[in-house]
Amino acid sequence: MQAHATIPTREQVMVRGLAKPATVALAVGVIGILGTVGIAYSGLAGSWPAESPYGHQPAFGVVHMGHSLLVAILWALTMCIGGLFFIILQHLTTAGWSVVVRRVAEAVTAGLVPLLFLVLAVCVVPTLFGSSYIYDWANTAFADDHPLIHHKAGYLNGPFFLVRVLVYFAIWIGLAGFYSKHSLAQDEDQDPKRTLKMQKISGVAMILFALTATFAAFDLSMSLNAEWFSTMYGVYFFAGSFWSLNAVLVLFSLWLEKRGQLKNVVTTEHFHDIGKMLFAFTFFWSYVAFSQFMLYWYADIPEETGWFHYRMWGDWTALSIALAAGHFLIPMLGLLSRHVKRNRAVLASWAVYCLVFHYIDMYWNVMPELFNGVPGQDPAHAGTTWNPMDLTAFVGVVGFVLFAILKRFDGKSAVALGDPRLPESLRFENF
Amino acid sequence: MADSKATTPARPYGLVGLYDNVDALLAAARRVRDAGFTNWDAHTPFPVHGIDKAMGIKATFLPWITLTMGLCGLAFGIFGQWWVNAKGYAFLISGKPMWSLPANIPVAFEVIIAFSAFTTFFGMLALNRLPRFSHPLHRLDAFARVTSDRFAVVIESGDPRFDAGQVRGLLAIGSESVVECPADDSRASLPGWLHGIAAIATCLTLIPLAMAYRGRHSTSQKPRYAVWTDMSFQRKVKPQQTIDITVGGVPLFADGRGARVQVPGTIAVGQPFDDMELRYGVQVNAASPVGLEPGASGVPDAPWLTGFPAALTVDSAFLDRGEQRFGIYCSVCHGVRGDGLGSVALRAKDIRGARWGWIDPKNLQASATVLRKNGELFHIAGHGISTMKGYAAQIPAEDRWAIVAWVRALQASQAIDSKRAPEGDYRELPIGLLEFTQGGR
Repeated sequence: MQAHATIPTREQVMVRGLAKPATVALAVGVIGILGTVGIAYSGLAGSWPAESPYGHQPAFGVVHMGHSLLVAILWALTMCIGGLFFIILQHLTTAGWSVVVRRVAEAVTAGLVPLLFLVLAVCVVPTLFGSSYIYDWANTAFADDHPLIHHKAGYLNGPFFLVRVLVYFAIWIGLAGFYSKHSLAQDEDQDPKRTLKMQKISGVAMILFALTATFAAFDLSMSLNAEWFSTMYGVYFFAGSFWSLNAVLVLFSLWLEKRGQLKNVVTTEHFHDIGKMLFAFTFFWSYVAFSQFMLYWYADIPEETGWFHYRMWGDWTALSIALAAGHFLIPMLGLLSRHVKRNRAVLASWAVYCLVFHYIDMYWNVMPELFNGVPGQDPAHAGTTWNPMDLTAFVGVVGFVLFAILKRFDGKSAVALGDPRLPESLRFENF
Repeated sequence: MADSKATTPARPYGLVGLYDNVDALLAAARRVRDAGFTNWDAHTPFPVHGIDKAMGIKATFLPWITLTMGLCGLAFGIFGQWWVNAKGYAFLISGKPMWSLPANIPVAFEVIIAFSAFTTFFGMLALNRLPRFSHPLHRLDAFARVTSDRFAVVIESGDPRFDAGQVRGLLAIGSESVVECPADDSRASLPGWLHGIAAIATCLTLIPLAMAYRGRHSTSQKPRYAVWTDMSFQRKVKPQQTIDITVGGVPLFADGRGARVQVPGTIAVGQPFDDMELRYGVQVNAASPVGLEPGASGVPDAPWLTGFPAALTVDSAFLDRGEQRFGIYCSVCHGVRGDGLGSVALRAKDIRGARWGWIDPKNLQASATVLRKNGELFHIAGHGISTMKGYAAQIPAEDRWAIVAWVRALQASQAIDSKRAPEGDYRELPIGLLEFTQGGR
């Protein structure tokens, strides 16, 4: 324990030289997206596993491209809004320990800007023309055939979808911008009043976050099967979101420590705390996922169990079991020990593991819906449909998001130097 | 670490260094740690981060006990539910499997939490050798401020390296004062009679278990014991009870019935009066619905319909419906063949239900039933007879007629000589027989 922590100098924590990596990330992003589009339209993606009795249907590659991109977008989006939640939470609870890693979370929220354009292009714009390859509810003919969806048309329609997405992103980007702006300005003027100001709006910010995250989960992911509904879905989405953010926080903090900007700033104690959150949210995700499942399993009402049915009994069974084991049992036992959380290399491995399983979680949520609602296709028996586009779409989306995050890091200090709680954070101890 | 064993009354308990801030305390703790003392402790008014490291305290093994007991809780939770639901008191609930993992997870989870929490709490007390009756430091006035604004490091005289002068010098660095804590010869351990009470209380907890065990292996004719009877015996009138409520000395209802019967000539809300044949089983020209007082045959005298209402089409689909409804509502008592040997009837025979007024379900193939008119059977299905209840609330009129048709088909099929059975499709048989029975009436 340092009795009096040494505040690092501005020069020590300044992040520099990220312009080139950012450009590389952007280039990779462009290549990834172009590759995805190329595969989708060249026919390399394959074809529908079963013939439609109606003959005509959209090309398999294009529909699969939409879903692959959506999985990657949701993976990155959950991470970014997890970052926003982390920032709001620290201000809401006036936490001291986290000041040294808060700038990392602030940088992660920069990914929201490219994600806005990706969501608009992939998810929203097609629905305005009444023909989405992702959302069945947006197809006029489909909605007319399904009374339940027709009934929900007042909410699920292209223009209102666009308005909602714009509102969500306006709130997220607005809040992230507000917190980043004041945090960076505080580096210059060391004004503690800024901390009070950030604290003051954190309560309202948290309510706004809860509402937008819940409805974004409903709109972007749950509406893939618009006949199914779950009030727990937003919480489920959020649980995975904060889980992946903690993993990202570990990896970015370690990377900056290795580069030197967070050396002697972020300590074993901070990694231990982030590890604890990772462990806690492993459990929280499982708790919520099981709560959602068990009520439907118990009531056993067809309109509610349908969504689980083709995930559990068919080609998706193995992935469902893998998710229960890999998203809950294995990381729970793995992250249980204090020694794991205090060992950087081991914790980093678990962080990577968590991000992989968060991807599988998003995949499990989105991909069975590729076949659901398509005439002649049975989501339970269409295979798990791994496709090269899953990889290219992931690389593409992450490339763009990483570009924005690296750009945000570049030329700024890696620590909130002006935060009055920085000394408390620097000498933070768990015991 | 707070443990001590006062050796002789003359020897003091130890020396107490008092500090007025956290940093001084931590520095003192580090010095004492480095000097190699083992019987010592630090006391603070609030949890101090970093104190473990400063004192050189090794991590406790309490988490391992908690983990072990948590896993025991998991095993106990799962096993307990399996035993109760699927083994000891197997009871089918809404068609679910007797034992299914998802339903058991919430309870197993709670049991894990309960086991872990209690283990952690009591394990912490046990590892700290708590509770104890007294401690020498509590007799030291200067020590009282440790609960508000002072920090103390206490080195016990029982420490092998204890040397009064040296220790005093060590604690004095940065301290406000160093005071001697006198020995305390009052009893620290719990008195013997408390152990006795604990042992008796433990034995008493076995009584409910023994009673439960005895209950599982014995039978009784007494009603079960109820602690709170207000659910079983409520202050209300039930349909089969009489009431003795009087208003101003006059009985509320002259007949004393708990449930009121429909006033003759009236129609309840939602009770259609559109088709006398279909709704009441009487002929179209009957003046009013069926009367209330049962005649000699158990049903009121009325111009009962002999055939089926004109509104219904009697065909094989109608009979299929009747077979299905009969299977659902009637067969449990009357048996699937209508012979009066349903599972309820057999069970009632087994336990000699007649002792409590149970009347055996009729053999529907017996001549008494065969001779009844269709309208009478329809009326009985809806209103009940002897100990049979009326099913009008559960079975719509159309379905009661379908059941009557199926009863006729059963009677005919059992009565017929196999040589007279029509040739051809087996499924056509009942409808042919029905025409036969109707024609015969």
